[in-house]
Amino acid sequence: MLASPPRSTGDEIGTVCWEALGTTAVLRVTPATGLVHARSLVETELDGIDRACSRFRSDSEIERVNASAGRFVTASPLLLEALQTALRAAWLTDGAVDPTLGEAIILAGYSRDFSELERLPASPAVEPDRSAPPAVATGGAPAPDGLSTSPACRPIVRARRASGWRLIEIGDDPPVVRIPAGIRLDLGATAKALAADRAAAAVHEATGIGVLVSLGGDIATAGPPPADGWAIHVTDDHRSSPDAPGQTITIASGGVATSSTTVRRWLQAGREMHHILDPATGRPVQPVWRTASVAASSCVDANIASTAALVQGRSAIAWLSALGLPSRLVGVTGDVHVLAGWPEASWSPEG
Amino acid sequence: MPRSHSNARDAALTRMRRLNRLMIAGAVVITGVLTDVAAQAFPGRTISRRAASLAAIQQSAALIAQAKRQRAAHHHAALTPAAQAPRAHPSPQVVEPVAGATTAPATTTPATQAPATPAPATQAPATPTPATPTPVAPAPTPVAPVPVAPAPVISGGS
Repeated sequence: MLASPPRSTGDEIGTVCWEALGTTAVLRVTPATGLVHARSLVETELDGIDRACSRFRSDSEIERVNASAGRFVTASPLLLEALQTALRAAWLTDGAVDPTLGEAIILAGYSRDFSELERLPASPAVEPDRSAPPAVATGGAPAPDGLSTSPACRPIVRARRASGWRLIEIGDDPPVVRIPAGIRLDLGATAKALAADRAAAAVHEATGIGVLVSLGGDIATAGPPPADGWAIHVTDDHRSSPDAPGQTITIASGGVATSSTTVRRWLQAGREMHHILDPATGRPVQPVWRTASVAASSCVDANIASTAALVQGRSAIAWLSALGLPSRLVGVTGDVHVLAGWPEASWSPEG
Repeated sequence: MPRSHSNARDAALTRMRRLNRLMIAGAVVITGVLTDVAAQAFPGRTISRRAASLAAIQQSAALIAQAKRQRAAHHHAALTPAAQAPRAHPSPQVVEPVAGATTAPATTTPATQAPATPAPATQAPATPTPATPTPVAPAPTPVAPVPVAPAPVISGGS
């Protein structure tokens, strides 16, 4: 066990929030006097990640790689780092976190910025409709697994066949990447967490102050924390207020990430979809957990674990416990499981 | 053996010899055709037909070998917990009320920077309101702002 980091003696904590990477960015520093410089450093990091990894920008590097499938393409060091992070996630989770689901997520209807989709409100108790007949498509017959074989489903089957993170090739001298034909990369799961880690590290290295960076609820810290630690409220939706059902914890270092099937939901051909896909099926996961929160040594590690937990379902309990990652899993009915040193809640009403 | 039988045997052997030759030739031709069909079916594998230079081929092979080494190298760092496990917050219902809204984007997403000191809306009232009118208004007594812990950062699905 490492020694705990020195605590900040400053009393003031500065906070600023803005929209970035299609979500909410929160920057918190101590002492507050470093806020202006810190924000500029964070914005520089986020801009770099956006240019390298956004699949919603036609001029991004990742889109150039996707358009050049089957050929080696030169890549920036930042894109290589993001790809290596994504492949590490896939490796460590045995493919539960798969960066090659870009085609599947598009076929599921998430082809534009989320603000442009036919959104559904966050709903903790609602699961994606996988058994009901599609409202729009006709002619589908129930499949053995209960899923419709309607035309709306067939492309997803093709996407499932096309997924294959093991086939991605990366070289760093010269920096190149090649993905197989028929595969599209989507680094959304890990790129955001990587951005938070890089931004927090950049601020601390440049200023020496304590910093917390949150990108859509994926939180990274660096440097000395406040005297009482960084206070974090885990809940279903990162847009919630601090008194939303959940639990408040403090961390001194590392990162916290929360993944949930209750947010980022939309309608596709009359069917409810969400953004956590099961690589085994190419479809939204059938949730055992509606929300998974994990604390780890970095935001990337926490994000990998929380995303994988939703995909793994019940087996995530043993997996997270074996890794020793403090975790909080909320079942679809609101039952809460805390693992591996996550503090018990004095109250945790989960609606 | 009668001569007619011998002639018939020789004629049969001749036919078999021709048939064998035809079959061998046919097999060679069919093998060649099938090989070409297979080569056309998988054009990505027929590097020689693309008139690629030897240097380009060598570079591609080097990239593949290097990429394979790279793939093998970065898979070993396991997920690790933080140096300290998270702790329960001493006051789990800490709330930083912000006027006018209840959700984070509306309440904590100003286009400009937040103040370095706690926002006025979160502070205790600096000047208590007099409950009853008094003949002589007392001079306002400056009250030091009560430090208020900032609201916790929200970690939730996005």
